[in-house]
Amino acid sequence: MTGGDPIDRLPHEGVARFVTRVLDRRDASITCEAWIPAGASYVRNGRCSTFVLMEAAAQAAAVFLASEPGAPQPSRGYLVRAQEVSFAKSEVPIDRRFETVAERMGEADPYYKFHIVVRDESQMLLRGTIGIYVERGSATGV
Amino acid sequence: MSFDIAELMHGSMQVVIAAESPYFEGHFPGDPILPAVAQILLLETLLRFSHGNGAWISGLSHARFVRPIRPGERIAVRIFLDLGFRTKGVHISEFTIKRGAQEVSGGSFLWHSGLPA
Repeated sequence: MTGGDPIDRLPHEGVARFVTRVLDRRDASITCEAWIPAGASYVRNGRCSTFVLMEAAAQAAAVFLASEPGAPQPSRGYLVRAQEVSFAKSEVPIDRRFETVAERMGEADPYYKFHIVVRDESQMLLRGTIGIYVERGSATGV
Repeated sequence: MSFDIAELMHGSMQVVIAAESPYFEGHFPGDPILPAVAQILLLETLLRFSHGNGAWISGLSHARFVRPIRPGERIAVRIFLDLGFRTKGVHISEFTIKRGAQEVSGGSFLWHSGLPA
């Protein structure tokens, strides 16, 4: 892993940053903690649509790429594809910690494919595949 | 909702993404673009207008977000509701989001009507 906290390389600021901590980093995957900020525009009455968690998974994928040994810095990742992504329920309360896993499935630089899973303490909320396009020369973002 | 909906009809709407829209907040400072999940929120808004507030998006079969949407842009969101099929209460519909004649996003998604199957 390159020096420093890779989460700091995300260009997301304030209510747009969902990923808060790296819990585990392996050769081909990353597990991150995520929270949906109460002030985020997606939140209504303490809840948000479950698909919003896809952003947390994409941010985890971006953190994975930013923490690759020798990863060019800075770079920015865009969520450009979603495939067979399923949401277990219509909405979720945000007063809880989410765990998001992004596992790299393939790459054809600058395009990277990840299998993603997001769960809370009791159940899986989201799973599927996303594609991240990485633009070199700007901050890391999705 | 913090979108300026200029026109809303069954299956389609015209939206101006105001420069001050909170969906740009922090995404990204100095280079704001509309997050992909905010685009899905637009789809859900249109879906609920057409099928009631109980409707919800339960999956993305495939979706492509090919061009960024920036502050102040006017976009057209369209859901092809009538092309979908239904099985066990799940529908599938295609969608496009366009800026003028140019597609910025598209694909297909699964949704529930919120009504008993």
